[in-house]
This record gives sequence, C-alpha cells and structure tokens, in this order.
Amino acid sequence: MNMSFWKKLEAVDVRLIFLVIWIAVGIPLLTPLYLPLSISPDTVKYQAAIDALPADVVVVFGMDVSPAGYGGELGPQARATATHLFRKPVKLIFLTFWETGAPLIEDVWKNKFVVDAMKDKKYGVDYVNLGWIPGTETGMASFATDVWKTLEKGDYKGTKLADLPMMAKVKTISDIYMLVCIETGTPGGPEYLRQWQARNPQMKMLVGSLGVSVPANIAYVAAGQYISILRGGRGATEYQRLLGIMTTADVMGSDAMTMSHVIVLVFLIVGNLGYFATRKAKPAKT
Amino acid sequence: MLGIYAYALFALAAYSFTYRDNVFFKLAEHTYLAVAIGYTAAVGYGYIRFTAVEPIITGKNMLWIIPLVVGFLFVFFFSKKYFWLYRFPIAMITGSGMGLAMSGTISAQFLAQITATIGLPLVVVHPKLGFQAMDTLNNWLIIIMVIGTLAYFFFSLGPETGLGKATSKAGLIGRWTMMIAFGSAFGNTVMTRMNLFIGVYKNLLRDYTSFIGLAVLILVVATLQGRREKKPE
Amino acid sequence: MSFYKRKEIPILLTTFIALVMIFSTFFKVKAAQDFASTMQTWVLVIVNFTVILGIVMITRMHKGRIEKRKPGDNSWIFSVWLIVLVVFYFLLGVYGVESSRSATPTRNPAFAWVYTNINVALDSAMYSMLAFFISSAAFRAFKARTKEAAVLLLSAAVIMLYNAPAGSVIFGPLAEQFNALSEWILNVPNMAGFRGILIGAAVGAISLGIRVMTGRERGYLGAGE
Repeated sequence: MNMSFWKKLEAVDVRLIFLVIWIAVGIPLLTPLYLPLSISPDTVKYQAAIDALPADVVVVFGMDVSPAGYGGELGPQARATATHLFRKPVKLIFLTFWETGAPLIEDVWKNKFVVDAMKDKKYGVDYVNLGWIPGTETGMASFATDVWKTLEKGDYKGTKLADLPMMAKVKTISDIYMLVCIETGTPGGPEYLRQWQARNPQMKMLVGSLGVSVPANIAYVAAGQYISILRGGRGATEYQRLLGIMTTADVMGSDAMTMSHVIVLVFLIVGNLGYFATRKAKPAKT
Repeated sequence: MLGIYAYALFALAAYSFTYRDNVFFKLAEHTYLAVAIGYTAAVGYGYIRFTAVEPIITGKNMLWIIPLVVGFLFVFFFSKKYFWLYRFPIAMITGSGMGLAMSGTISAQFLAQITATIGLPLVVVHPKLGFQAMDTLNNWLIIIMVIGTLAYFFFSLGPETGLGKATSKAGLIGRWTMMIAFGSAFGNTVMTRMNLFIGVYKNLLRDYTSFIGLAVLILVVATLQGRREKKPE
Repeated sequence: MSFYKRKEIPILLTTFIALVMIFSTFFKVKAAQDFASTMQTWVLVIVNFTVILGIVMITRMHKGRIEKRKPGDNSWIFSVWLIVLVVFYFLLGVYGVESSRSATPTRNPAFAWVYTNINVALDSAMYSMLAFFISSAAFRAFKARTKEAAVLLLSAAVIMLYNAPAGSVIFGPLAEQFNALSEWILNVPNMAGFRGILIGAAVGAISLGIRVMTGRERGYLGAGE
C-alpha cells in the first residue's frame, strides 16, 4: 500500500469512525451472536463469598452509583448481586452515599430475578432501604459511629428506625458483617475502607466497580482489604452466567462488548500501521 | 411510551454533538444542567426537612437550629461586606472531612498497602507441591516494582549524590511499571465507556420508531443548521 | 480589619474539628466521641446548603445572558428554559417530599418520571460520548512513538482483548495461556504500579491535611484577608 493510501486513511472524517462504532455495536444488539465467555477467578471468589454468608448476619448493600454508571456496567452488577443476596437468609440494608443512587435502589428491586428472589422477604424484617445519606466520608463516619443518630429522617419512606424490627440490632458499624459496595467513584470503596473497615476490621468487603476503577481496586484485593471485585461489564456478565440469570438481552450486551473492543483494537492497529508506514517512507535529510 | 420517546429524544440530542453542534445539543446540555441542579436541590431539601426541621417543629431537639443557622451562612458568599461569615460553614465541613479522611488514610491506605508489600514471602513453598517458582518470582517483581514506583516520585535527592543516582535508576523501573499499569487502565477505560454506550443503545432499541424517527429528525435539523451557518451573508 | 473577620478564626475552627475527629477515632473517650458524632450529623445538614450557591450562580450567569442578548442570537431562549426547569423541578421535588412525608422526592411519580427518562438519559449519553472520542483517539492519536508508548499500547491491547468476553477465542488452543498472561499483567505489574500510586497519594493526602491544619493552605476559605 502506498503512502497516499495511509495519508488518506489518517485524514478520514472522524464522523465515519463514529458511524462504524454505531454499526459494529448495533449488529450484536439486534441479533445475539452467542460468543463464548470465560469466567475470571475474581468473579468466582465474589460469588463464593456471598454463598458462604452465615444466616441472620447483617449485610449492607451500598448502591453508590451515578445514572451513567448504572446504565452501563453497574446496573447488571447490582441486579445480579441483589438477586444472589436475596436468595440467602441474611438481613439486608440498602443505602447510598450518592444522591443519584437512591432512586436506583428501587429500580434494582423491579428486576424480574430480584422480584423472584425477594418474594418471601418482608420489608423491615429481612431488608430495609435507608435511602441517601449525605456528606460522603463524614456521612460514612457518622453512620459507623451511630446509625440511629445519622438516620433521624428514617428510611426512604420516612419510617422511623424504631418501626423497622431488623434495625433494633444495628447500632454501629460493629453490627455489620459484610459490605457489598457497587461504586461509580468517590465516595466508594476506599472511603468505606477508611471509615468503616478501619473501625471494624472484621467487616468483609466486596466491591462491584466500573472497569476504569479495576486497576486500582486490584491493589486492595491483593492486600486482603476487599475479598474480591466484579470487574466492570465483563464481571457483571460472568456473574450473571454463574447465577444462571443471563437473559438474551444480556447475551447481546456481552456480544456487543466483544465487538466494540475488537473494533477499537482494529483502529489502534491500523492507526499504528499507518504511522509506521508513513514514518519509514519519509525521505532522508540531505 | 412517552418515557421511551423522552429518553430517546434527550439521548440522541446529546449524541448529536458527535455529528455537529446544533440546537438539539444545546437543548440537551441546558436540560442536563437544569435537572441535575433541581434534583440535587430537591434531595437536599428533603434531607434537611426531615433531619433538622422536623425535630424543631415537634420540639424533640431544638439544637438542630445551630446547623440550620450555620448552613444559611453560605448565602453570604455573595456579599462583599459579610463574606467572612461564609467561611464558618466551610471550615466545619473541611475540618470534619479532612480529620476523618486523615485518620482513615493512615491505616486503610498507607499501612495496609505497605504491610501487604513487605509481608510478601520471598520464597514461596507449598506444603504439598513444594517450591513455587512463578509465585516467588511474582513476589520479587511486585516488591521491586512498588519500590520503583515510589522512587519515581521521590524528588528530594539531587542526581549528583550516590543515593540520588540510585533513586533515579529505581525510578526507571517505576516508569516502566507505570506504563504497563496505565496501559491496563486504558484498556479498562475502553470497557467502561463502551459499556456506557451499549447501555444507552439498548434503551434506544426498545422502540425502533422513536429511535429512527428522532435520529433522522435531529440529523436533518443539524445538517440544515450547518448549511445555514456556512452560507455567506 | 476587625479580628473576627480574619481568616485565622475559621482556620482554628477547621483545625479544632479535625483534631477532635482524629482523636475520637483513635481514643475511646466518650465525651470526644459524642461531640464528634454530633458534629458529624450537623455537617450532614450543613453540606446540603451548598446547593444554594450553585443555584444562585447559575441563575445569575444565565440571567446575564438573557439581559445581554443580541438580535439574531436566539441562545438566550435556552437560558430561560434552564432557569424555568430548575425552579419547576425543584418545586416538584419539594411537593414530592411534603406529600410523601419522607426525605425522598422520587416518591412522587412525576419527579421520578423526569429522573428516569431525562436525567438518566442525559447523564448516560453525556458520559458515554467518550466511547466515540476514545475510538477516534485510538485511530489518530495513540501512536507508539517511543518504547514506553509501545509498552503502554501493548498492555492496553492485551487487556482489551481479555476484557472482551470472547476476546481470547481468537487465540484458539492458546486461549488459556493468553488468559494467564492477562491475569499476570493485572495482578503483578499493574497492581504494583497502582499500589505505589496509592501509597504516594496517601502521603500526599496526609501532608495536605497537615498543611490545612497549620494554616499554610487557605484556598478553601476564598479570597480576601
């Protein structure tokens, strides 16, 4: 291929690249390709940690998400995790330190697998939704030191904690057995580590994070601070497969993820091939 | 159905920026700002109402008047004469946040990560399988790479001293380590952004009429707007 | 300038509250812990008032655009739309809070509808636009100009293929080895690099805290004496 081909390729209208993305990602969303999927060790550990939960312990489900994060990778993680937790005989506290996360807790409860898993559970006895707690790290510290004082407002419906039977045994962070945090960013896992796990070192932590946070979160897993993490969209897909709750829409999403990555990789390779081709073809200086 | 059309309209209006700046994108960005601020203000109102105001109204705890008064001092940000009053709520928020962050950082981020590094066994021997070469090598690599990364950010020693030269050589290892780390961060960023897009795309495909109809409308309007702007007067 | 207007008093307040928080974390003294707990719950209320600043600044900025509008320029209409929508959505939320007798405005169906179909749509679309720009950057900007850049791109390529659920399939019988290599990259060099960065960031956070407490860092207090 001569140099003018590479120069023309480099000068292509960027909107054509965008159109290629729309088409490449759209094809698997219209028809599932059923591409294979392997399961990473972290997801297996995540599932095993929830499977090993003893009966009647208190688990906090931190829905610390933005609408964008929820729509992408964290929604599938949250729904799969909530399904799994509701299948266990544990007490669940849903809460969030992101004001945008509060309505999304109720959205998780509308998912058909979650509805099925929670059908024998009673609100106030087996699970509660405490809604949004402001103040980021200060809010976390306040919750850790005195849960009832922090939740003066009551739960998300305005019901006082005294009228929620399961909250009678939850006064400080020492009463929490495990935290499962689905996080978009700050406040998230590291803030929980600083304010909750620092006060209750026995508290176990699982984190579902965006792909962009995975590289840093791996350091916390290696240090034993998190038991395990769900690695972004890939982790969500693997977890759905392990739990047997993968729908056709999820398969399409997984295939679209593969196609999108392959397309970006192709762009990267072609762009670099063009760079090396044009670099070599430059005439020597006289 | 109205919800699906509204979702499609605003999502496509936002995406129309990738085609060209146009009136639909302006609508999207102004609406985004408005609903974000309105939502934050509403949830803030709800929290204040039922945490601080309700106990005052019912007479349960009159001390909540203090944070309400301190919170109102924020409005003095806009006053030249009484600006100094604005500093008090800021001081309280900063003091509490910073104190809590510092006390947690020492144990959770600083000590835990250092302990995890120096606690790695230099020779890994499995009780049944014996000496583990790969695990041993990995542990050595982790220790060297962590020290290298820390050395890269250490600027206090000049390169003319012996220790300074050693630090800068160790920093070279850190640089290569960080290149691999940032490469993996980029790879994961691609996954996040693509999944965000796939999530929106899935919702747009709930109803083809709204998706295609609105997409065509926005493209036509944006193109006509672009042609009108290019036309010489 | 009068003494009570100077920055030293809020700095002392910041330092006092920070020290109380640190002390109550490490020492189990009931009086300190009760005071710290009360201070924390008060801060949770105070922090919500900051939205007033945002609303006033935005309103002022767009009011200025409306007043300074030029003939032929219709962008002021969007400023009117913004101000009207902020006020409308906030009042709808207040109605939701009062009618449901809870702190949750989304208990009102209309408020929840706007959140689900407009807020979520716009937030998701705005953040996901980066997917397009990353793709065009991969084609045009991310070139292996140096050895370091080449290592970065190679690491990115391996992780991208690993993250794609079916990415390892292209390696056929070597798929397992490819997965093992990817896991090694994530758990060894990537983890070591980010651990170093985390430790460095922790040192930075502690030193910033000390600077704020000793009054060397005053930017958070705004301009003026």
